[in-house]
Amino acid sequence: MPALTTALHATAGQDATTPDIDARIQLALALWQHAGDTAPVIPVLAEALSRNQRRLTRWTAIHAADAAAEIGAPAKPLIPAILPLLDDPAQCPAAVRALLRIDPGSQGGTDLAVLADRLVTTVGTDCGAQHRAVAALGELGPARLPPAAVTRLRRLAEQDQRIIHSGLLTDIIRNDEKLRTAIRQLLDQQG
Amino acid sequence: MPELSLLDGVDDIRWLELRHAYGGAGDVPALLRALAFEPGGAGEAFDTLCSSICHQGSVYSATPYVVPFLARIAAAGIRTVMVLGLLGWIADSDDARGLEVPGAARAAVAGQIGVLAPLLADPDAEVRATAVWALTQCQAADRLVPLLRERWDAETRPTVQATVLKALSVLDPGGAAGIAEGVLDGSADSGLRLMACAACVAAGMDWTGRLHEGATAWMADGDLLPGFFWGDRDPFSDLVIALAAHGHPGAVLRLVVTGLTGPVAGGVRKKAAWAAGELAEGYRSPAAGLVAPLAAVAGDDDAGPAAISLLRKLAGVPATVRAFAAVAGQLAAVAGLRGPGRRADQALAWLIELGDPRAAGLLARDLRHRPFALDAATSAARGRPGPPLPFDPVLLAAVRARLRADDMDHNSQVFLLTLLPAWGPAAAPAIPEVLAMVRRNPLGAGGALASIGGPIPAATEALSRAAATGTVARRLHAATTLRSLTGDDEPLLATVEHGLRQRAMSCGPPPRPRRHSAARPGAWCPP
Repeated sequence: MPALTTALHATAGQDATTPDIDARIQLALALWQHAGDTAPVIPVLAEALSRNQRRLTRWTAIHAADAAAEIGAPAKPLIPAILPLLDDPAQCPAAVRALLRIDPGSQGGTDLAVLADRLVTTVGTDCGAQHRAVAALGELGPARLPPAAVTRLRRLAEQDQRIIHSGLLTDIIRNDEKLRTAIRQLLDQQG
Repeated sequence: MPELSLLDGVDDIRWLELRHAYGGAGDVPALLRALAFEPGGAGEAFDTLCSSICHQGSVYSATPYVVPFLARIAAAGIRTVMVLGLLGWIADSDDARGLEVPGAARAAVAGQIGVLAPLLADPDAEVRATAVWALTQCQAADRLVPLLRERWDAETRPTVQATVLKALSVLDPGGAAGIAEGVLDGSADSGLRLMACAACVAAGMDWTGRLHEGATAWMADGDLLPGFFWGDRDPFSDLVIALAAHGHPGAVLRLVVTGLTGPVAGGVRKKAAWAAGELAEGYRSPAAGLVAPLAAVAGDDDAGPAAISLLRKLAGVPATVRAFAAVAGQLAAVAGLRGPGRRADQALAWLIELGDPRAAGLLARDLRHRPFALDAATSAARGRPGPPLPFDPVLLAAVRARLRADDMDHNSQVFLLTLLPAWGPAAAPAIPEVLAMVRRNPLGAGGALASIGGPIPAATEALSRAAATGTVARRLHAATTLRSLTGDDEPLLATVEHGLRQRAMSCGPPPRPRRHSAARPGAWCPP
């Protein structure tokens, strides 16, 4: 524990790089997991989310949202910093999952239909987060999906043009097929 | 052109306040001077300018300010083709970084149409074609279409004609279709006929037998518009993708299959296999229909590697299962070719990925020459998609012999040390060979020994050594495996403490042990 605390402080500061911030997220989360104290972890996650500049720190913000999801309700102060992540297709699934875990009753004040709409947009965007978006839609509750979202998902599952165009060259086609399967399985759970 | 008119005004720009890919743009005037006036240093200056102001397709705040000087340099006949190419890429960029006005880089090139237009009539055909492509990227249809029509009327070289027709189909699809009809009615060059078919598709016309004939005429001699340049696009692949995008799945499949299996000239099948790859990566419906034609050319010297590479990508796609069952014998025959060869290697990798029982024997026979197949055989053990290669005593003997060989490269060593653990105790005869590798690769060999023999002293010693040396990530990997094997927390805690002491913690979370449950330390489970 002292080593974790020392390392956490050593990576702080204005000149902290993105890898430093990534490390701080993991260090703070480890401290929380072992000590259960949210005091050191919330400011670290808030700092990571405040530095969110899409292109450069997109994944750092996703890691912070994932950590917030793991912490759950005590991460409520982070909700205002998590909400802007909904606008970025790559970050949206992590944000939705965090909102559902932190505030299961009202998802940070965001309507379920809005969350579903954003997630379906992610599913149709080649951003590396499509599978997470389908998983988040499952967490949202297949039976609760608005008809408009279901219609868009059906269209995505069946469209001839591939949804996934990037990634490891050998895996693009298979990943696209897996995504269609995942969407169909989600829709099958609607009942 | 004297220096003053070429670079007139270059010193009036506040370059220090502008930026490019490598920071401040203060070096731009010197680079422009070297490009324009120092023949000995112009090549290097051009390369540096390219990567600075249009870096991998991104443009920066300095880029629009450089454009007028580049246009003058190109118009003066200094490295014209290269500079026109750079201007085209700048206009084509959709990734602006730090530009004051969105679209300013493209607008800057469009602002030079008057300076660059004379190059459309340059005596050098390559200059004319490159000027057509570069100017088209400006998307200024109103100003460019009249210039391009004028060029069409005067042009006699098929490759430049095709470039002009392509440009017109981008900027004025309806007008280009009219020209294309005329091309198809006459006896034009076969490459130009293909471009005319593409123009018809771009204009939304129906695909007919006449167009299929026009689009395949080039296959008889295989000569498709030598020197044609349209960014990084191939005219045949372009047509294939355009047809698919316009909703002609049957026609596009027939076109590609004609190129793969029809009576065509050398080089055509390879081009068709590449187009098939683009098609399958862009659209789902052609997948099943491509399997048999690709398998038919899998043994082809020219198209074989591309065909098998695509077949591997299609393996596992539900719609292709039946088609693959029908061609397994054909591909096994290619995989059975002896000795070095990419075709046989890729075909064997495909057999492994499909779990074909012939695979292990074929891999054993030519292990040294089958890097792709070895990669496929270890995919599952490395957490990638694909079935594990079942234990085979003949293959084990081949692996042992390979581990003893002097000419083994690092990748092969890593793959073999990944393959053995998947077989667990059945791989025990290989323990002497693995022990001999502990000094060179304590982590890989130690992990393999642990999976094969459990917590034997040789494994724990090797892993203990690996946990105390090298990078934090490798130490963590070794210590985690050791903990799973022995239940001893101490080496892992010591490694974690060591890692935390490092100011620059470059490692991520430790890799999950593959065969040992971290939740149940000490519980060794044979595979």
